[in-house]
Amino acid sequence: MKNIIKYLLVLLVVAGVSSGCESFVSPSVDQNKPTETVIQSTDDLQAVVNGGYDYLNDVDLYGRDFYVSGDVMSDNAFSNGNSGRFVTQDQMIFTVNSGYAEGAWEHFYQAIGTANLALGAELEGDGVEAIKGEAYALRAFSHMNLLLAFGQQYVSGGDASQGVPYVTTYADSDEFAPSRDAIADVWANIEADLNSAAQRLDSGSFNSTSLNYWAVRALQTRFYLYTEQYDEVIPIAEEIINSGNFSVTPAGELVATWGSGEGPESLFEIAFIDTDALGTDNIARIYRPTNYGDVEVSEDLYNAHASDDVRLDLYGVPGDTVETLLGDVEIDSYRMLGKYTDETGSDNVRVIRYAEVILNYAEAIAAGGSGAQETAFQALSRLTDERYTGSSPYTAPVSVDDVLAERRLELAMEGHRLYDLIRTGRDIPLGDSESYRASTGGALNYGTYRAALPIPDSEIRANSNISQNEGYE
Amino acid sequence: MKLKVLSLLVCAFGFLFVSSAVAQDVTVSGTVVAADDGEPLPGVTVMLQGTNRGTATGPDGTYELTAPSDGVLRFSFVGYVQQEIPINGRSTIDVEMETDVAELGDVVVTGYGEYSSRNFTGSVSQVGSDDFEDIPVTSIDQAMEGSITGANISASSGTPGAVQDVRIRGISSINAGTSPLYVIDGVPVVSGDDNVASDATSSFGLMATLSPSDIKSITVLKDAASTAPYGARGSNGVIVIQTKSGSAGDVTYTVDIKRGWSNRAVEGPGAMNAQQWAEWSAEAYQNAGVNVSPDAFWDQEGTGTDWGDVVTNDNAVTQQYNLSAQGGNEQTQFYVSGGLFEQAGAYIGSELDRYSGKFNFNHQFDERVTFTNNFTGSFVEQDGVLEGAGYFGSPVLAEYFIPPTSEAFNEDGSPKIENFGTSIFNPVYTQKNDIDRKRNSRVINNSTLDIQILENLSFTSNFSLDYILTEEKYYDNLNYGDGADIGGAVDDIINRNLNYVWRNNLNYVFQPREDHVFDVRLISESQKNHAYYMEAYGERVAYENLYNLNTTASPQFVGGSTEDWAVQSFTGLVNYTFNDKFITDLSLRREGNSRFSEEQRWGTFWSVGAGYILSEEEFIQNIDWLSYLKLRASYGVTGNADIGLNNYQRLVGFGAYNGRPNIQLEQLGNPDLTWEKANSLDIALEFELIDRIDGSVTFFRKDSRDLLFDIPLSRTTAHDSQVINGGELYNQGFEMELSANIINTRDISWNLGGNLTLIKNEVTKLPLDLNGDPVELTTGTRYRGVEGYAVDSWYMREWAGVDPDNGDPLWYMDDGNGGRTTTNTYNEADRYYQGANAQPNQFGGINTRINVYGFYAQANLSFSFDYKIYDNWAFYMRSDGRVAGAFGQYETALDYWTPENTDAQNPKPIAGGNNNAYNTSSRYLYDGDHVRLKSLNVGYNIPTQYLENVGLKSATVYFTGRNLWTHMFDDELQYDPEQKADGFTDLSAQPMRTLTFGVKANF
Repeated sequence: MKNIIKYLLVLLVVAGVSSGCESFVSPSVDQNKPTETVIQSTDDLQAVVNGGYDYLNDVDLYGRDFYVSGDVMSDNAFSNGNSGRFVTQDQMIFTVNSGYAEGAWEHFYQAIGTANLALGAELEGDGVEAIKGEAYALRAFSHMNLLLAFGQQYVSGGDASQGVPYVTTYADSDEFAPSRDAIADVWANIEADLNSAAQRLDSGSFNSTSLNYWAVRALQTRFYLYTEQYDEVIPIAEEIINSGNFSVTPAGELVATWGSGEGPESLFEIAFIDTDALGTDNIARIYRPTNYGDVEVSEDLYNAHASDDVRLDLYGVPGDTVETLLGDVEIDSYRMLGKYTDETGSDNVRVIRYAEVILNYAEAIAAGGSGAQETAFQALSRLTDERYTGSSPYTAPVSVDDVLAERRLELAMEGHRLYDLIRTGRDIPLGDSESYRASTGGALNYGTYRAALPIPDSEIRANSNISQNEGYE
Repeated sequence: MKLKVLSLLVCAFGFLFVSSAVAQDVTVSGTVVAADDGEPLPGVTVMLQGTNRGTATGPDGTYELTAPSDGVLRFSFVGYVQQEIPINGRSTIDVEMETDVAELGDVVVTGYGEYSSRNFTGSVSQVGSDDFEDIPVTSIDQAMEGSITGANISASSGTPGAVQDVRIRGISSINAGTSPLYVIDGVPVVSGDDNVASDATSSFGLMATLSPSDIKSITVLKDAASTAPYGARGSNGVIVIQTKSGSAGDVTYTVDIKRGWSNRAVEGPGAMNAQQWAEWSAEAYQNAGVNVSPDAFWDQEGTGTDWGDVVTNDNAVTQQYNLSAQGGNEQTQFYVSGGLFEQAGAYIGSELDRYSGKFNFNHQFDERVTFTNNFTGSFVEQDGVLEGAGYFGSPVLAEYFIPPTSEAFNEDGSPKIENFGTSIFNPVYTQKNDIDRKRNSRVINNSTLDIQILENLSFTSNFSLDYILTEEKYYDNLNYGDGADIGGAVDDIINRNLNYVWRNNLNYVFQPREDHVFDVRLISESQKNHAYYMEAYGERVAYENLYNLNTTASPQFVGGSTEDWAVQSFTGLVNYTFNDKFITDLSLRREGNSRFSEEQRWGTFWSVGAGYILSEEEFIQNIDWLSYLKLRASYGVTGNADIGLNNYQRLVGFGAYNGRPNIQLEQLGNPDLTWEKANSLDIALEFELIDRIDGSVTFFRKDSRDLLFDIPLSRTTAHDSQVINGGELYNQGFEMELSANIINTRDISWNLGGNLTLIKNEVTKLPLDLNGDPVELTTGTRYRGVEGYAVDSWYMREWAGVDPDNGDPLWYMDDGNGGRTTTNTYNEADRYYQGANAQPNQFGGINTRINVYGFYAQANLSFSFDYKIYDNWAFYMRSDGRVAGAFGQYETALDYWTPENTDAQNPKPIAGGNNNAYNTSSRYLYDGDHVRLKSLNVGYNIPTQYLENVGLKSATVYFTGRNLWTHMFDDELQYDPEQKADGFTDLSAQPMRTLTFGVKANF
């Protein structure tokens, strides 16, 4: 009997130990944190904004595709199809299943999601406002790119109501199926967010790998130029120029500065260090003669440079021997080598440079903007003085066409050309007959629906409030 | 007073002891024979009960030992019912041993307890070690192929050690797991390839860590009554594995040696030879208007290469050595074994080596307490190959892709290092110099304390540890192959998994009145799993054949993570038998699972079962030919929680941007997330006719609901989907089993059996997305989840053959009037349901065993019907000229259209492709219907008279063949009809045919 009691005691102990305690079935979350409570300090807030930058450096966006496509979808560059990449961008024939369109749509909205998470944080203290300023800028910048890529503002027959959804909340289930905002409303929201950003950021600190005060001011010049509010461009551009903080890289240092992976005169660039590198998907591998090497420069662009243009040294021409990771390669085409030099992917991607601010300024003056301290020629000379060993090819008074011609040369392979053509109502010529687009009609007239990407099918299927773009229904 | 009574008792017992001590020792002798044939039985253990004294019968079945005249002798022998016989002063005791028919089949091992199958209402199938121990299976789940009614088993790849895809009673889920739960010696263990991080190379199934030689039986639990005790882990069925244990008696040693040779079971489609390929390529170019001759593709300098020959091993060697011992005495029994298994795969560079050890023992502390410990340790090394997709370094791909006009070897016999015009690497070099290796160390220890509190009340506490360490190494050499342009690379991954289960079980059997027997069990179980992963990857290897991270110059990636999950449950089981005629089983389980939010964490699962042994009734007993008849039915709710961890939470993840920490949006989460559930109904009739034929017929229906779906979200939410519970599907069908002892005499016996499963699977409901539309899952080749169709139903453009007039490809399209017409424009063609899915809807096996004197032959034929498999790489290998001059082609591509050969399988080859003929269509979809001789086993039990001189108790020599013969019903199918569960060929290593000779001896 004693033994039985002993066993029963053991039994009770065992039963007591093993009876349910809730903590036993609570899972550990060791690599993640609950979203609702993750932002506890300014460091956390900054990390969320950094997360937004990290979405921008995805291969679908500034890591490569979105950035490179701005040139491939123009007369600047084309795809040789070596690895099958950028062929559809070259042709400018997109389907609603286009991986390019889907990647851009998805990742810009992810960046916007992080911006909204940061902006929704209830946190006070030093630095909070400045970080929220970055978040406003990130939200404005991402929406602006979405609008340029998907909006119907440059499409004949495009509907003015067909902008993109301007999203200002994260994880609010009432906002899970937004409809497209009108183009004008999207522009207005971008303007407001850029203003909010500029108000919060500190003009005294500068870091080119984050959205700093000067970068935001520069983006504002881009914004007002694109929306043809030239009078607004001028004072902001002059503030940047007159700040004395920035100067145009001298001609003699230009190639070396590009080769350093940072600058020249960057106001904002997406950082790529070893841990962010995209491996074989990095941007240098698409421009350089590697086993990808799909994107070549059009002969037309190369020939547009005057013979004393120092930027010619950034190109490789047929017959050049190029040092690559796989050994020396002799190339038989024109290539952009000097702006992307590291095949392991550590080149930063330049989003906005001081040179663009000068170009924006000059173009705004040339287009009739009032109140400028300088003429368009004087403004443009700030750049051209350092780009030509002789005198610049332009004479006063410079026209908008002149500024755009110089803009094409200065910002080549920096993702601008397509938007510069369509925002100014120009056709999209074929830079080179080798382009795949040659087989699908060649030059595209201004207003072509093909200049805007289709809304991805995956979005339309998930959200019936979104309507498809002209030409893709 | 009490004391006095006690002392009296002591005295009384003391007297007994004394009296027994003074009992006279007598010499007892006798002969032990088998009851069924009267033959003497050698090797029977004869023990004096309560002591270690004993002996064994000699070759003539006789024994002799000295024992007290009032002692009790215990006679035991494997396969026979143990007998205890009091001596009662006799000097001669002859014994007839009855065959122990209850050893298997009549006992149902559920993992939670053992039940007499007669008194169990659940639906189970079992196989015993006899059925598989001679067959050289790498992984124990292969042993079930064709033998388990209701289970469809196929290898995910033919590489030794690859995961076996097991589907019990159909596919019960679309997005959650569909694999069964594995239970070893009563304890749930980790299975599948969960412990492996990379899936570019061969998969590694954790069941390959177990030596089949150590396994006594496999029981598959299929219906609600048998699986409900496993709650949310039972929906996909449960596989209960019981390992061998010792029995009292002299130590018996068993040696088992096998040696075998493997090749591909089905040779495959084969590739064009150099001459054919050059001519075909030239013709494709000519048809495209480019005038070239075959010489342009082949200079005819070499002989060309049959790459299929190069990438495969001829007669790859399998060998196995296993030594085990078992024995013990009254208090302690043990089983110990050590084994070595080596198997080379059919493809060069693939091999599996396993070293395993097992030590099971149990010890009776006193009359109430028994302790059992089962220990299994193993080390397995798998050298895999890149497979399962179009890897440039894959030998499976190389067989077909590398042009046959190339040469694999230099004149000095070394492998050629070049790109063969295709950037595909010479697998001879890469398989030799690259490493795709998994090393797995596993220890399972399972300790049980059993306390018999009262005669009918027992308590069992069981603690089990399953520790798995997998080291993966992927090394790309710096000279050639995947590593060439990065200077070589090393990827080292460590996965550690610790799983422990603590279970307490109270079992009470009571009989309130005669005829009423209750067996009640209360079980609490806590299971926790901790996983740890660490990976580092570096490039630029310093020197050839240095393959550790320390010798890489450029570190590229490090990663590490930990995660865990836990399940806790309380289960009550009641088995009630009335009059040995009516049986009911009830189960109720309350389970908490860490995969769900606090609000959803606890769920309730239950089952009821009822059985009625009709043959106990007089009106049946009057039917002479019907010796046993039982009707049983069960119904209940089980669950499926085989989903990712922490899915319910809204989470952010961490990374870095520009060397600074970043936070990104990881998942939206869903706090309402809960189990997938299944309501299972099972009705069966079990019977035995004329004492010789037994069988059963079962109807089952399993309705799965609350299926997990990813609802697509607007990307403007920053997420692409949210996981919710929504869909419904069912599996329904029949299972039939029949086994007949056609001849049953002393020297000759013949048993013939078979099983058949018929299954219908249909998705009945899909969740609605935010637009209110059903979330249909349709891929380029099939309906993954569409209402009215089975899961993974093939759905694609339908091939209408080759236009005899011009060699164009033709597909079907709707003609607008409800009929169909053909088109040569791919984009005009409509997509149609192809009449089948990827899982066979009718399958089973036929098995037979014949014993003629000492010879025996055993065969197991399996068949599967009504399913299709898709060759998803044929678009390269039957490319109709699309890759002419670039990639090799199937031999079947030779039957192409020409003006003379208008009735061809393939369109006219045109360089660059003929009208999209290569695109996805039913052209590459084949009926998988087949019959296969899974195993054939012929052996001879050497008569004992030849063995006694060499000191052996018994010995068997045998020959086995696995996958010896296969018949496919689709003439066009060239690949092996057994493909992985999703039905894609996927450039995976193909199953093997193995011939083995073996010797087994007991001494």
